[in-house]
Amino acid sequence: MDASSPKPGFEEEALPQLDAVYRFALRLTGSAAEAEDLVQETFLRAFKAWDQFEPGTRAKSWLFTICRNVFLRGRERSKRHDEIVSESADRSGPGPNPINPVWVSTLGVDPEGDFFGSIVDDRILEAIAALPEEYRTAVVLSDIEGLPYAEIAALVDAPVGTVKSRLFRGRRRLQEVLYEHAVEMGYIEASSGVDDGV
Amino acid sequence: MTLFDSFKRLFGAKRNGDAEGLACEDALRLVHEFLDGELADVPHAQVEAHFEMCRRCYPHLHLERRFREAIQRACVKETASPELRSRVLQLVSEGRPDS
Repeated sequence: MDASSPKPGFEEEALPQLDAVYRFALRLTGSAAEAEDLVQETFLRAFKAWDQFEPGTRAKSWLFTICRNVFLRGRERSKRHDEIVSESADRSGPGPNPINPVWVSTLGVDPEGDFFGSIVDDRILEAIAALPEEYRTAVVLSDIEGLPYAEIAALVDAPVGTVKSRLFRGRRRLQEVLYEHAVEMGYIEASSGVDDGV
Repeated sequence: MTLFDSFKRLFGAKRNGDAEGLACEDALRLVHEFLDGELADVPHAQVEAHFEMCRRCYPHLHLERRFREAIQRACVKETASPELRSRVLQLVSEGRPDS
């Protein structure tokens, strides 16, 4: 094959993931311009390494892995660091209280959760962007892109238990932030909480 | 959900008790894994039955779902621009970075 021609399968497997990789890059970088650069670099590297892609595995996860690695290397170089997530906290499990205090507050005033419909998308994206990178990556890969825990664990090179813990903490933090925003904006009444009944 | 199911949810679960052989605390602890389709130790159907029948736990499941719908709604609208798509296609067709 001519070295300059696309390798078999790349266009069918990788290119359809362009929107998903772009969304992931946006969540990582927080800026459209940086995300576009990151996507180009990701696809270039993926194209060059296409013979290392294992058929039968998910191209989306493979592209996300490349994308995150490129992003993290760039971040190291620029010495920009997000909030450091303590790995000891990650290992401490999903927390002692299975009852979500945000839902307890919500149930008294808006049991259907209609306040979520009032929050504008940009505010939700800001809240996601404010999460530490480890939590943000886990939440985006699971809740937006629908990857299973095992694939996320392989992607971030961490045990499945750590991924579950990051998802738990990331989701709870997002829920707190969005609830507080909704109270501030008057989308929902502040509540001192109700008997959760559990 | 049938009228009978609604009746069971309203009156079936005891306070601090269980529904469908699962304690409320355990069901709530499993809510993320249940929604993610990642339950490892408890059958999906058992957790599902608990949430369907328990008037105290079901609202928590419902709010988790509303939360996920909201963040999906915010994120999935974003797509690569036609310019980015063209650049990536060009880059792949040439096998080298565009410059």
